[in-house]
Amino acid sequence: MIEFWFALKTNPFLSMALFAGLAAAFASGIVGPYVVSKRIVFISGSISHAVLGGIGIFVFLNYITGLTIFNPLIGSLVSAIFFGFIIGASHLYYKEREDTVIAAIWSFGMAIGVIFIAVVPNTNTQLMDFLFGNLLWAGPSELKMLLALDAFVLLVCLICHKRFLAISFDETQSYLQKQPVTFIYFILLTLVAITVVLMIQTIGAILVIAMLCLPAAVANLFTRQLSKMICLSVILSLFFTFIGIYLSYSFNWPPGATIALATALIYFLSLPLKNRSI
Amino acid sequence: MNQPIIDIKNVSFQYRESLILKDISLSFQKGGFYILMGPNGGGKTTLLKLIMGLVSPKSGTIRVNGEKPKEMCCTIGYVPQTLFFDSLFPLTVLECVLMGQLSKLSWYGKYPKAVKESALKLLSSLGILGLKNRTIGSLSGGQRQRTLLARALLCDPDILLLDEPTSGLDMEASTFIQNKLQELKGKKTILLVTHSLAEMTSSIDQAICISTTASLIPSNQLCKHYAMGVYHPGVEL
Repeated sequence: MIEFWFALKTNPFLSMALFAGLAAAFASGIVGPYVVSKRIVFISGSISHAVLGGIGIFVFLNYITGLTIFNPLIGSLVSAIFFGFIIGASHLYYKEREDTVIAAIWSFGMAIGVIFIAVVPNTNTQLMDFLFGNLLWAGPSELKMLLALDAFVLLVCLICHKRFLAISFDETQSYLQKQPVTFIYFILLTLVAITVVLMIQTIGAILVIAMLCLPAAVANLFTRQLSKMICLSVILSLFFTFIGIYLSYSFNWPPGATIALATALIYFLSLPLKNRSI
Repeated sequence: MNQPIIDIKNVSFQYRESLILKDISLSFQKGGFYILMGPNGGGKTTLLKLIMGLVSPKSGTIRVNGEKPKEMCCTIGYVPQTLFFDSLFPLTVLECVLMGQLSKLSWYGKYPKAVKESALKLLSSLGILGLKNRTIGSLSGGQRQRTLLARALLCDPDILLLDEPTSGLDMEASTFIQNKLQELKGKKTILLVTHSLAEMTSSIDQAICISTTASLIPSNQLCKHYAMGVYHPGVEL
């Protein structure tokens, strides 16, 4: 551990990677409890995988036009929100086959992404980074953007917390109270989309779902109040990310997979502690 | 006769190919206590949803307090038949009851102090104040229904719709709900969907059989209808 602290002080790439990981973990710690409570874990999984479609299209457009606006990060954000809205609409208006729509978007987005990235030369490493994460992408400007998105997520959740709680528990009651249920639901999905994009940078599209739901699920084992669950989930997300990056540094393992592994192991170990609510 | 608080005229409702309600006309007076009965799938819950504005009729008009259902707010309190949720759902009893005044939430997400005080009073009057910090998933069926009744009453609605509120409850819990409804009789317009004979023999103003169409059932034939398992309108007993 001492060696890790020393490396953090001397290696700016490592310290930047840790800060980026913690910034992303902060957002997932806040949004995760809503995802778990509203039972939209698979919707989130579908968004995180479908995002690859937007990334692939933007990588391709960047290759053929050379325009910097076609940044994969922007592509991921646009596609995450786009697919989030499609899935949200299917939840609201096409309930009978909602799971099928989620699966279709999941595979459709990934397929588009893989094909577009494949036709651009020398992008295999980039594809792997998007799939499994690469903490070393973060520089000072990316870190600022991560912190700005964190602040946005926190602010929206502070304002909308009780409304998210209401639509998660009973949409009918929210309709009766003249709440804009569809609008609130789409705000929640937008937050999920933003969090997915943040997490893709650190943990990768394939493993995002672990960080989005497991810290919240562990927190839910210890508390049954959403506000407390969010606080605990944020602390756990930061802790899991720190442990994951530390282990990754110590054993030279891929950071995304190590964070997901540490998170899943602690989740399994926590299960026997069920019902010890605070 | 006074202007009805709920006025339903020639309403039909269709879900895909199935005609659930056909040309129904009903009116409910302010402060009345009405029972809706009928076979499963007969359209009772659909009628409640139409009154609440959760679904729109294929034809006909519905007016609640003279307004279209979708335009009103806090006129109706609703107690659902069953509310499916995860037993781990992170929600306390007090938080659940406060959802009965969601429309009073400030833009930054805080309930006014008066709403919280009303919620605590209601919990007290329903005998569940001690449970206010318990999670909704840890409650018994009876405690859960009392919580949902408190939520429905929080905005002091003119109309109370209850969809089989005592379904699956033991005798004590059912009696508590029935007594509470008797207390509310005359103060609120109550529409109660039920299959329970005990609830029907209580002092109601009118029973209506909903089975695609609607028909009024004379109170002296009420028990006979259910005793014989005859739910359909127009059947001579």
